Amino acid sequence: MDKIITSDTFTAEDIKFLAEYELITIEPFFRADTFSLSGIEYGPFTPPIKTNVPIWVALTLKSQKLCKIISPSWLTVENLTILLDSETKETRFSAVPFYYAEISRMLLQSAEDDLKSPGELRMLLQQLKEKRENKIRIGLANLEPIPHKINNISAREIHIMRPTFVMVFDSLRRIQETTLKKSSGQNLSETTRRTVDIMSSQNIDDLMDIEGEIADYGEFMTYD
Amino acid sequence: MSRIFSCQNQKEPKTINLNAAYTKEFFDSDEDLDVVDEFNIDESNINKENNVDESNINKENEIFLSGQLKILQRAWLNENFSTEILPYEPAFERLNEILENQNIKAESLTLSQETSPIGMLLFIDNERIKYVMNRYKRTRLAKIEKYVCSINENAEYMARLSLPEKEFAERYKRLIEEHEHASFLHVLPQESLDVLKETENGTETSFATVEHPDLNQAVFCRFIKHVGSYSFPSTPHDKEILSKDDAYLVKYSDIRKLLEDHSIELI
Repeated sequence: MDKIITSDTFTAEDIKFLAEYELITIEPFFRADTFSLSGIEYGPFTPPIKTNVPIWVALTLKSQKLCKIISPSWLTVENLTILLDSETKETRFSAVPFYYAEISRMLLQSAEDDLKSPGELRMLLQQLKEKRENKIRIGLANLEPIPHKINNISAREIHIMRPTFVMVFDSLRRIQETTLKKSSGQNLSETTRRTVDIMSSQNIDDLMDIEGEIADYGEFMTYD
Repeated sequence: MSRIFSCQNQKEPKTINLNAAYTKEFFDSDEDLDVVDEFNIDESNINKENNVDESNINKENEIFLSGQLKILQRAWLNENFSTEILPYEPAFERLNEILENQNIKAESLTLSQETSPIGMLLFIDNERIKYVMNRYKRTRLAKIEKYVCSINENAEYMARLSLPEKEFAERYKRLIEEHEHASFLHVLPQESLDVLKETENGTETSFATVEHPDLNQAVFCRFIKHVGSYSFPSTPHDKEILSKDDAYLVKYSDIRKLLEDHSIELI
């Protein structure tokens, strides 16, 4: 956080930063009264009593061996198996927390000893991630018109989708606007029709290079 | 130039006045270190003395200040993903206040009891608040620079800027105009420039080359309130039930009103 911000682009690191504000339950190993961070009160901290703090606080305390992190209820082998199952059966996205990818990755990295069967969790999360990315790819090929409901999408997935989807819908919109005007003569509408044909063809993935982008981001997000 | 404005609110913490209570505690701290249970330090005492000095106003203030960071985080994301400039978020100034309070508290805590993690957490929290404030300011500045002419022409957009931002927008526009005039515009004949002028109802509005924010851009949004039955302006025949936590991919112009009354956030 010390580095000087030179660009105004929203990065995957920023998603992680925001995810760190989600609350998590800890079991503190130290005594302290309630105190406020950014105007919100946390505590009191009395050893066997569990309390809720933001994830970044939990991880800082954890790094100094001052607390035990209680794994969130959705991050268990049973629950992830259920999620994975519904992800396979249904066309809709299953209900995962908005920052599920970031939170699970942070916990697996820094608090592995507090999670039950982390190896299995990694495998399930990886499968879940792939299933959901596949759905995004199918969604892009179908090119459903906007406004378009996308419930239960996670922050990371939006981050992957954004450049491609925004570009696709903006070009489609421009084509529509031009076709609606119809004032530009035969030549132009011929061109636009051909463009629409290309865009809705099977080769949409090659055209948009979404694979490449997912691969770039995937590298950052693998559950190693 | 942008540096001047982005940094002005990130001023250094004021010099810390260690009041009598703190100084006393500071000298006592040696004894505390010898206690076997090093985390079991009675902190409530310090807090009590501290609160007496700073009066109850601080307590009320803190309740009012809670959630300001969340508001600014949301404002940062909204600003980042919308194409037009949004109203300036007053939470920025309130966070400045939190920063100062926390700095004083953190310094005194680390001085008095080195073993407590609270002081360290306060320092980290301060850095995180500063990061959000920094990103918010920079996002706005980048947008002002990009649409400088469009913003200067539009009274509604100008009203959304804070005072320093307004000054920046005006000065930046003047700078660009002077630069462009000096480098190439002065050699062009006046008639060629007139061709570029857009007219609306017979009155000149602006040059056709001015970049305006594209209000029809596709954005991702999420509902933070229950809205109920609603139809997006671009598809007036489709009624949708919009409830909290629903996520949509929509045209920005469709949700402009909803963003104004804080029913949604951009994600």
